[in-house]
Amino acid sequence: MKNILYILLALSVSSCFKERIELDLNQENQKIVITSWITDLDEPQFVTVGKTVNYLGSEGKEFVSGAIVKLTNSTDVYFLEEEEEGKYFLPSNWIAILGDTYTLSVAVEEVEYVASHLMRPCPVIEEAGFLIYERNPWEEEEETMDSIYVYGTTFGFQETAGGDDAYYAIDFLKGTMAGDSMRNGGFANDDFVDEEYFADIELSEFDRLYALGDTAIVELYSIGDETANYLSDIESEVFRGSPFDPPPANVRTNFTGGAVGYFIASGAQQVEVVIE
Amino acid sequence: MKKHILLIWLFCFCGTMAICQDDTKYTLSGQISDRRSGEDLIAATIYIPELNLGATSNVYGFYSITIPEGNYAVRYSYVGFEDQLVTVELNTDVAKNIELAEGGAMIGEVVISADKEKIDQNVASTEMSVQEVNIETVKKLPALFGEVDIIKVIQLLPGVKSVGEGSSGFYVRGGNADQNLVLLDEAPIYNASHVLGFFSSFNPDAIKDMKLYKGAIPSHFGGRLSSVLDIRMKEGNSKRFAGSGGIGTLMSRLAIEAPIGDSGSFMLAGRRSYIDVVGKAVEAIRGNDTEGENIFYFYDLNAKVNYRLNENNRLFASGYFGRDVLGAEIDDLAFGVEWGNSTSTVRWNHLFSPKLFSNLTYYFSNYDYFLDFEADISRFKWASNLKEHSLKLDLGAYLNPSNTLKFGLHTIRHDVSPGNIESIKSDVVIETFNLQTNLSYESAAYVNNEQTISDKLKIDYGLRLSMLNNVGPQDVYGLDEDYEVIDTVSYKGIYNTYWNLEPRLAARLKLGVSSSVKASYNRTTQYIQLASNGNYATPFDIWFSSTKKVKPQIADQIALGYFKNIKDNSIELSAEIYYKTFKNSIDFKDHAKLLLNENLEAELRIGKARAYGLELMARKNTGKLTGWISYTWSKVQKKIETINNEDWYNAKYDKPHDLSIVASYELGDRFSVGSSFVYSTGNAVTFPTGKYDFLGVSVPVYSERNGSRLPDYHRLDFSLTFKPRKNKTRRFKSEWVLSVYNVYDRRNAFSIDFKQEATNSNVTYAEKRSVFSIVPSLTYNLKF
Repeated sequence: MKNILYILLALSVSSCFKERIELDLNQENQKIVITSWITDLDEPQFVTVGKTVNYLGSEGKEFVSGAIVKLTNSTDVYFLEEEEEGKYFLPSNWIAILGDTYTLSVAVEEVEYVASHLMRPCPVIEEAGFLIYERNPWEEEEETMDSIYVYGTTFGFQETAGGDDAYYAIDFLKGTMAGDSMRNGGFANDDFVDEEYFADIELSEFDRLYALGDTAIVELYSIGDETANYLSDIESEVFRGSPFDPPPANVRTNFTGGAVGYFIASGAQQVEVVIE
Repeated sequence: MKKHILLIWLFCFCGTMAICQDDTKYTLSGQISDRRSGEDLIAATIYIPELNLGATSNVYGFYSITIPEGNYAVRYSYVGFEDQLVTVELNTDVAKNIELAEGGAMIGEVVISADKEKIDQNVASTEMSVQEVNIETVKKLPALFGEVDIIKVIQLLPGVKSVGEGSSGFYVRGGNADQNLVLLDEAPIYNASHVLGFFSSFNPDAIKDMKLYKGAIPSHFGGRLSSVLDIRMKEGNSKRFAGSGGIGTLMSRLAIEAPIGDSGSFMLAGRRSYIDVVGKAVEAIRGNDTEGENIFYFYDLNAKVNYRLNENNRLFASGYFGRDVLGAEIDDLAFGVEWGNSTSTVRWNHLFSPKLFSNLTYYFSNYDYFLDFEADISRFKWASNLKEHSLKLDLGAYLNPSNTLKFGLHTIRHDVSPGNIESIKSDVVIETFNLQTNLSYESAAYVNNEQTISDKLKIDYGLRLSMLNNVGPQDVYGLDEDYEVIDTVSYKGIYNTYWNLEPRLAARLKLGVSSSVKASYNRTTQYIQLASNGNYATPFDIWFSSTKKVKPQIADQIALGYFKNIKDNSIELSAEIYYKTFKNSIDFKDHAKLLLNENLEAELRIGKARAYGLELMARKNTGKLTGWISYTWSKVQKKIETINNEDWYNAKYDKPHDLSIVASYELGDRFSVGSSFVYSTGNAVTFPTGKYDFLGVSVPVYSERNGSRLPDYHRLDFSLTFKPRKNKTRRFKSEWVLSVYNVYDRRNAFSIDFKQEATNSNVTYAEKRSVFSIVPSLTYNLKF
C-alpha cells in the first residue's frame, strides 16, 4: 500500500507541461512600423521605417525604403537621410534642444504618419559604482571550491520635481550591443516618489554581471509617463505566460494614420563604471 | 419612486388580506424531514390524489396546503426516499410533521404508492432553467485529486461553462464569473475557491443541498445578473451522534453532528490541505532539496446549530471560515499571502399561522486578502477587504392550493476597502497609502405569486424593486469623454441613488401527464462587480459598487423549454432555448491598470453584451444507473466602447459546443463506478496576426479580440468505489475511492503563449501549456 501511495503522490503532482506547437495564425494586412528614440547623447540618431511581418516563424524585419522622414521642433525642420535600408539618420551636426517638443513625420506611399514627443532634460547620474556578489562555486558548475566574485552596477539620481516624469535605465558591458535590448533595461515613473533622491539603484541582472576589469556603461533616460506606459504595454505583451495576465491587446502608439511603433525624444545621461 | 414602493406594499398587503379568506377550508401544514438524520427535506412533495392537488416543502422543510374539510389520503414523497401515505381527517387546521425514510426502509403505517401518479417537478413545476444535484450524486463522481467538488459538478450541467483546466470558476448563460450569486446559508461567498481556483470552498460533508438558477430567477433573489447558486449546509443529525470524513491525496476532512436535547442539533465540519507536505514528499522522492520555510495550505470550517424553541419558532446559526495561506523564503526575500472568506448567518423561522411562514435572516460576509513582503530590514504590507452586513425578511403566505404568495424586504451594506498599504523600515512605518473605502447600501422589496390557473396552466409572477445608495464620505473623480479627470468632488451622506424594477415571470403549460412547455422572462440588476482583467480571476481582484459613472448592469432573459419524463418518471428530458441581453456591461480598456488605482472608473469601458443558446439534457435519477447527458450550443458576444474597434467580439468564455456525459453505476452492494466525459470548443483567445521589433523584442500586433480559439477540450474521468463487506454489520462504515482524472492523458491546452527564441530574436514560436496529465488518486472515506 505504501508503494502505491508514493506512486500516486508522485504522479499527482507532475503537473504543468509546456510544449512547442505548430499553429496556423490568421494574417492581416501589413501595417507600417515606425520606431525612433532620439536623445541628446553624442551618437547617431535615426528613425526606422518598416512593415509588420507574420508573427510565427523566422521571418526577419521588413524595411521600407523611399519614405520621406522629417523632424521638426519649435525652430527647425530636418529631413532625414536613408543611409541603410529603412534607416533614416539625422544630420551629424544635429543638436537636441532639451525642453522642446519634437514632431516626427513619415510619409510612405502618400500616407503621412505623425508623432510628437517632449524632450525632457535628464537628471544627472550620481554615485555610480558597483557592488560585489559572492557566488557559490557549485552553482556555477566550477571545479574550484573557492568563492567566485561578480559585480553589478549601482547609481543614484535626484528625481525632477513635478508629476508625469518617468525614467528608463540600462547598464551593459562597454563595446557590446546589450544596451540596444529592452530586456536589459528597466523603467519606472515618479508616482508616489516625486522629487525624491534615489540611491543605490541596482540594474544588473544576475545573468549578466561583470568581472574584474570590465567597463560598464550606465545610461539614464527621461522618457515621461506616457512612454513608460508604452514600455509597460510591451512588457505585458512580450513577457506573457501567467494565467492571470490581462487580455492581449495592441500596445499603444503615438503615431497618427494607423502606423504602429513609437517615437521617443528624451534627454539622457551616460557614465562609465570601471570595475576595479 | 414613492409610487413604486407603494405598489410593492400594495401587493404584499393584498396577499396578507387574502390569508384571512377561505374560512370554509382548513390548512394541513408541518415539517418534512429525513427519518434517519432529522434533516429537513427541501422540495419534498405533498400530494392529495383525491383533489389532484399538491404542494412542496420550502427550504426549511415546511409545507402548507389549504383544502376543503374532509378525510384525505395524503402522500408525502421525496426523490430517493420511500413515499408515505397518511390519512388525514381535516375538520380543523392540522399540523403534521412527517419523517420519510430512505429507499428500502419500510415504516409501520406507510403505504408504498404507485409511482405513476407521482407529481414530477421536472414537468409539473413552473421552474425552468434550474438545476439541482444531489450531494450523494456528487460524491459518486470522479474528482480531481479525488477531492469531491460541487462546483466541478455544476460545470457539467447544461448552460454552465468553465474556463481553464481544473478551475472552480463558472460562467452561466453568457454571464461573467462575478455575475453568479453564490450563497452558503444565504450569505454570499465572494471567492468560492481555494488554491487559485483548483478547489471550491465547499466541504461536501457539510453540504445538504444545492440548487442552481440559470434563469427564471425567483424575485426573492437579486443582486447578480446571471445565476444564483443556493447552497444549504446540513442542520446536523437530530437523532444521534454521527460523523463522516475522509483522507485524500491532498487534504483530509471530518464532520461531526449530534442532537441538542430533543429540539435541536449541530454540525461541525473541517478540512485542511497538506499540499505543502505532499510537495516536500514528492521533492524528497525526486531527490531534491526540501529545506526552507515554504508553506502552502488551505483550510475551512463549517458550523451550524439549530434549535426549535416551540412549534412556531426555530433558530439557526451557521458560519463558514475558509482561508488560503502561502508563504515562502527565497534568499533574503520572504513573502506571505493570505486570503479567505468568513460568513455568519443567524435565522429565525416564525410561523404566524399555518398559512404564513416567515424567516428573518441576518448575515455577515467578509472577504479579505493580505500580502506581506519582507526583504532585509524593509517590509511591505498590503491588506484589502470587502465586508457585507445584511438583514432580510422573507414571508411565505400559502393562501390556497392555487396561490402561494411570497414577499419580503432585503438590505445589504457593502463596505469595500480596496487597499491599505504600509511600507515599513526597521519596524517603523515610513509610508502608508490607503485607497478610499467605498460604502453603499443595496436594498430591495419583492413580491411573488405562484398561481395555478388550471390543471394545465400554472404561472409564477413577481416583481422586485431594487435600489443602490452610494454613501460618503467619498471623493468622486469627474471624467471627461476621454476618461481624463477634470475635477474631484467630495461627498458626504447619500450622494447617488439608483433603483430598478425587475419583473420575473414564468409559466408552465402541461401537454399531458408527462410533458409540458415552460416559458420565462426575467430582468436582473447587479450593483457590485469584480474588477478583474485577467483571463482568470485572482484572489486579489477588487469588488466595487456601481457609482455615478458606472451604472448598474442590467440583464433581460427570455427562455422557452420543453420538458418530458419517460420510463415511469425515471428519465427526465428537457430542451431549452434562451436569449439574453446585457445593458451597461463593463470591460476594461486595453492595458488597464487596476492595481492601487484610486480612479478605477477611468479604466472601465461600458457597452452591451448578448448571449443565446440551446440546452439539451437527459437525466436519470433513480435505479442502479444514474447520471445525465447534456449538450449546449451557445454564443456570447460583447460590444464595448474603444475595445476591438467597437465591433462585437467573443467573450473569453464563449465556447459554442459543450457536451457532458455523467454516469454512475452500482455494481452490487460493495462496488460502484462513476465516469464523466466532457467535450467543449476551446476558449476564445486573442492570437497575434503580426509583429514588429522594438529594442530587440518582438512586439505582437493583434487584429481582433478573442477571434481565435484554443484547441477543443475533452477529457474522460473514472472512479471506482469499494465498500468493505464488514460495513453491513457495523455502525462505522468506510469506503475506498480510486479516482482517475484525465484517463487517456489528453494534454488539454490551458493557454498558448508566444515566445521569442533566446538565441535568435527573429524567431518566434507558440508554446502550449497544459496543467494536468493523468491524475490518479485514492481517497478513504468514513461514516459513523
